[in-house]
Amino acid sequence: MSNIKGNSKEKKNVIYYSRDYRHLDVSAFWYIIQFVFILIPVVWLYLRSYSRISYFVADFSADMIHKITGNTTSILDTGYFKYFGGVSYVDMAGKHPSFTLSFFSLLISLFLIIVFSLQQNNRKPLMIFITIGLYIHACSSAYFLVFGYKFPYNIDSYSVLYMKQQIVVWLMIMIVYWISTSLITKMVVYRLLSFIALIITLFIFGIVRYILYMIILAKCSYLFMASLYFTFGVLFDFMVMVGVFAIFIRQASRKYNNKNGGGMWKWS
Amino acid sequence: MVVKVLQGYFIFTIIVMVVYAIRHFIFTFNRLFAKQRVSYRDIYDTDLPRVTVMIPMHNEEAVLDNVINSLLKCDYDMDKLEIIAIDDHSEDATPEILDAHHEQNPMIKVLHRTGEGERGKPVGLNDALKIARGEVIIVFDADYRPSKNVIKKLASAFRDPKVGAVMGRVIPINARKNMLTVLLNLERSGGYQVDQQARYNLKLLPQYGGTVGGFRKSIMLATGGFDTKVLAEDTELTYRLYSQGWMVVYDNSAECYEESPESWQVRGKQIRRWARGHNEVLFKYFFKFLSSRHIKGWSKLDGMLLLFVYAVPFVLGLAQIDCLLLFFLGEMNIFAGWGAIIFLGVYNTWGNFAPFFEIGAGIFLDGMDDEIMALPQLCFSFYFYMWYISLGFIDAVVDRVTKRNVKWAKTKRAKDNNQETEGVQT
Repeated sequence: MSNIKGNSKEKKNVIYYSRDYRHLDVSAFWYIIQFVFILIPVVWLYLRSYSRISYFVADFSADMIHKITGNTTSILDTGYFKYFGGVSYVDMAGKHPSFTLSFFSLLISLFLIIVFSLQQNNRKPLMIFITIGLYIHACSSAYFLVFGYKFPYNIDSYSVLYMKQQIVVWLMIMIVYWISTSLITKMVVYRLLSFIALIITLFIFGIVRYILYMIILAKCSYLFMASLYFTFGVLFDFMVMVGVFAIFIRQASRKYNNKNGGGMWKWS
Repeated sequence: MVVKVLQGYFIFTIIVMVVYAIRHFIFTFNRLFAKQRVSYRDIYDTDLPRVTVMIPMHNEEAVLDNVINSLLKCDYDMDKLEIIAIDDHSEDATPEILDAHHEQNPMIKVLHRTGEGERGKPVGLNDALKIARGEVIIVFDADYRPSKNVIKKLASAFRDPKVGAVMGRVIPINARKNMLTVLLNLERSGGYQVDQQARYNLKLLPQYGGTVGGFRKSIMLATGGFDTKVLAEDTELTYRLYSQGWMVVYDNSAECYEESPESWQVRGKQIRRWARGHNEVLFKYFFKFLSSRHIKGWSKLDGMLLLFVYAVPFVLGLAQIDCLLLFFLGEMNIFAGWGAIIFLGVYNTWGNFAPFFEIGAGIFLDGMDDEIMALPQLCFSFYFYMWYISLGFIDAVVDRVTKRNVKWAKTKRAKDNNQETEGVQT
């Protein structure tokens, strides 16, 4: 069935089967099998291994940070989930921002907020995201100007938090991605490949970001800690997941919506 | 004490997000895997009701021919069809074009609204209700293009005496114009193909959307017509019907094509107005709906969640401030546990009101391959919606507190930009 919307420039793709009430012909059996024999073992394996994974990440990161900055780094351990073990993290010397840095940082943030608010396109999503980020940074700068001596964290506490959070973000993304892609049960190999690709991408991304953020905190001060956490935090991990999900769904859609895909659908 | 309150709010937000996430997972899985509830197709050939189509217009000279010509080509029995074009204080050539249509086709009636009277869609519809001869009223916006069979599909539902209103599916016609229209197309797909259909499947609360939908004239007349003080007259009607025991049905096959906003500024104003109107309905119907004896169990729960849906971004906006305060108060460890991650996971997978998997399912069912690659960009739209919907929520609170009158503002269309015109309606 050719489905044309409006004029010829607004053509949509050919849809071989009516979209109104179709739904997937899925076997609950295969759904449960995949859940029980793929996701649960992977999650279990991950929970049993995250201590070693965190040690690997910390060891590699400490080495890289030392090579890049020349700073002395060490690897420490801390407890996490009782039955699965603790996590390792990098410790090194950080620094508080100077009054001058906090002052100029506040000025620059406020200046940029004003400049962006005067822009005609200042209400586009990315601009709003950046503006919120600038507000957070301005808050951080103002805090250090007034209460800098009271700042309750050091690089050690950030490093612990990052590692703990990253361990659970990876786990969370595995579960969310698997459940979200479980709508397509007939592309097991492709789904597994996309799953593995996602985990590897996020793993590399998580390590690179860890190294970068630790260097920023060590060299540029704790002034940036709030921004690193709130603005450039786990949002980007989830964006990567949604990106891989989009690629997977596009492939599935192409497979299911061509003329050979009829057997995969049911009609009410 | 302050820290305890902040932590309590943080936990409250987590619970809210988890509840909404579960709701959307259920909708998505239901739409993908369950047997679908089809609308009233089996009574096509029975005696269908007399229908009045109403088209509210303000300065619509660029688009009105499309909607009228599409309606004249529809397959409904013309002896039972009446079209009322509501010209609401137009200042362009709309009145003349409408009069010309009336001369060619007497079935097209024109209601000219001029002078100092109140303006806006609900007032115009109320005036048109007084002269309408149909027992069923179907409304289209002026920039819509109804499909050939949409009237028949929508009208057939009213043969069920329990049905108070019916809603069809809206599909953007300018889906590939720019990134915004691509994203709106994704949202529409998730919203109608999955969300509305799943709510209909599960016998929850499909929503009447104010256009591409219809209602019984008798109910409106008996209940005093549209509330002219509320911006979201469609949501108000939905809750009015449910509170009185009527059904609202959704027909996924009754398609109509719309021109969606092409600039972020226009979209921002539109969503802010929707949020304002929806929250006015929240304040008006919270207790009425909660105490309604016609709605029970899961339907009541879903109705309440739907009622609060335009308040949630404001709750999340406050949660961001809450998190920032906790951070500077030395409570960063609260973010390191399971609860925080669940919060962050759900929060970051939030689109407008549909998470990424729901939109993905909608696109998959619609067979749109390439558009889905824009999906990650919805993460940034989240901030856009949080900002504008929060402003709309604040507007509604101020409306409530100050009892000020609301004014209608028309969504500016791309064609309006070309012609440098403005209007007063949506």
